[in-house]
Amino acid sequence: MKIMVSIPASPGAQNTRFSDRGHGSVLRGFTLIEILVVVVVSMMVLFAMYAFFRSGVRSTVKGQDTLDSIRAASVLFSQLRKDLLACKNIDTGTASLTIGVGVGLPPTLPFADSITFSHRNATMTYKFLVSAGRGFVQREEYRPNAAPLVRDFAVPRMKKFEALQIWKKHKPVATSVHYMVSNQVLIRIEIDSQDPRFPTKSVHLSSFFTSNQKTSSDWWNYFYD
Amino acid sequence: MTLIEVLVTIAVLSLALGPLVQLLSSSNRMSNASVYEVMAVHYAAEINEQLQWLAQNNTIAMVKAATGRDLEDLLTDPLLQAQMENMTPGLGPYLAKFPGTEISLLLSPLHPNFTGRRLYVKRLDSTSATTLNTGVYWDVTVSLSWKLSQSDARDHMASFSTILRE
Repeated sequence: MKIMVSIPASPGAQNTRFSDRGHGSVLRGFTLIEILVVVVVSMMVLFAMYAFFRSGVRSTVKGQDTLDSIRAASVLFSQLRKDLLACKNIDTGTASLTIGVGVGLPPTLPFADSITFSHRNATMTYKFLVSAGRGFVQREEYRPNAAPLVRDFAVPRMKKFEALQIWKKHKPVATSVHYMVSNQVLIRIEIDSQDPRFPTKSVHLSSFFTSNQKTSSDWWNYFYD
Repeated sequence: MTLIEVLVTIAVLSLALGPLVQLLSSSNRMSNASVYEVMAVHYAAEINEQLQWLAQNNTIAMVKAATGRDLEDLLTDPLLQAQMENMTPGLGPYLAKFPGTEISLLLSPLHPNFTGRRLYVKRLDSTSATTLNTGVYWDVTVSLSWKLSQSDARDHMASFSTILRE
């Protein structure tokens, strides 16, 4: 079977697809097999290209998305660290843990979804809020005789913001009489994409911050008990 | 146009896609690399902060007096290194204890694509007549390495240093 393709020749055109076999102008087209081969090959190439680009674009978008979230979380971490370094008191409610010398962390940690830093003349509270399905951390700063300052830290697709205060006892060696206590804050952020285009993507960020103000100034410390 | 011509055209077009493919791949790599670099900053910062606290509280000197081990010996101890690179699946924040002491670091678990979290310690030469000549100073480098994916053949690395006074 042959499919004849009729293409009108323009005057003077030297089209090799037309042949003259002595019976007038006979058009020589592609055979069905040729067309099928071309279609199949083209489809294979196009499908490979599509699959590659699809996976590439997804990967790029996911990477960029995660990066945006981590960068936003870094801004929040920086502000937390700044407030923590100068604070006189930290309040995480019941989410506070004292770890003795030579003892590890318990398997489950009691986290709070808010943390308050008290400075000499100000109080800063970070709390996790959800509005219109979007999670963000709100920082409220209270100073005497001043309107509260409110700043929102939006981390894309943040699902959890958790804080835990840890008092950790240290000794140079087991037989030492004295020990020091470090006051640290563990902040955990969970980012989870529920976008159906992506497979489940969950990122857990955590960072320990050490309070310089709330530690012993030398090895005989005032946290002695 | 013959079948051969059509196939050649497709082949040439496929070749032309090469640079586009490379561009996309490189964009992916850059974006993923940035993600891990930012994560590495977090991992290093939490260690540096705790080491600074230990140094400020005279702990390094006390440990040396009690155990005879200096900071380099302590931080490069293989047992500590093994704890720092604990890759147990599902691991939460944990403690890494300095071997032979009752001092520990609180650490965040490493992302599965990270392959290393190591400490390198070098004593700084402060013997010359400088303002530092009264103390012992250590240059502690936290080095993080990771792969962009499980199949990535090479390790990517970032290092962060802090100076501690004994």
